[in-house]
Amino acid sequence: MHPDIAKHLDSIISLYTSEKKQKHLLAGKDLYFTQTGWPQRRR
Amino acid sequence: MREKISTLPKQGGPNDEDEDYESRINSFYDWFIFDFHCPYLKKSILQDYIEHHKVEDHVAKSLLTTTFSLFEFSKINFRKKIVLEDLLHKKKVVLTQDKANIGLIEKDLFVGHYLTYQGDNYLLSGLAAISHEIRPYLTKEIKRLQKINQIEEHKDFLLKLKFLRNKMKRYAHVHPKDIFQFN
Repeated sequence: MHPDIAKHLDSIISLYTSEKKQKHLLAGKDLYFTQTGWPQRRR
Repeated sequence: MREKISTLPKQGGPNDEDEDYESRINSFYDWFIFDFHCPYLKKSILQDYIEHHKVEDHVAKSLLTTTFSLFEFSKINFRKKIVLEDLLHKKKVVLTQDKANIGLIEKDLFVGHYLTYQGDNYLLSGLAAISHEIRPYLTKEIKRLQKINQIEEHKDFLLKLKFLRNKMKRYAHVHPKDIFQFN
């Protein structure tokens, strides 16, 4: 990925998964994983 | 999230051990940034970010025109670049990155995003790979979606395809033609 783009993608992930923005992430997760099936981390 | 897992038997429920956990999370992040219409913000996460942060116009334009689709890894061309076929938009896409970075073999299908920046095409990291053997079961639905060319229908199809791909992994004894149904 070009660094001009990569820096913004990293910044978005960091900002919108922060405690302040968690509600956005949770709403997204509910919608996405309900439709695609929920993953579970390998034990 | 754990409570949610137990309420989802219709979706096939969770897998005990998802080998592709990390790729599925990357795939989620790509969708979350580019395709999720946030009910709190009433816009996409990307649109909100661009409105509140200093993003150069040409970078914003590139980010806002990211393409979400089903792709076939067609070949490596004479310049050693990966050539994809965007199956929903009937378009050839030549990637900037080389084969070493993608982890797919020719004729593989995958659901993913790409964007164009300064004339170069870049694939995003969240890829959901689908065996080429599944393609015959998708042909009819792909043709229907090509004709109507509606972005929301495309998104619904791509999420359903990811779900069916995950379901196929869990129900290996079921024939793919009985899993990849789009009625």
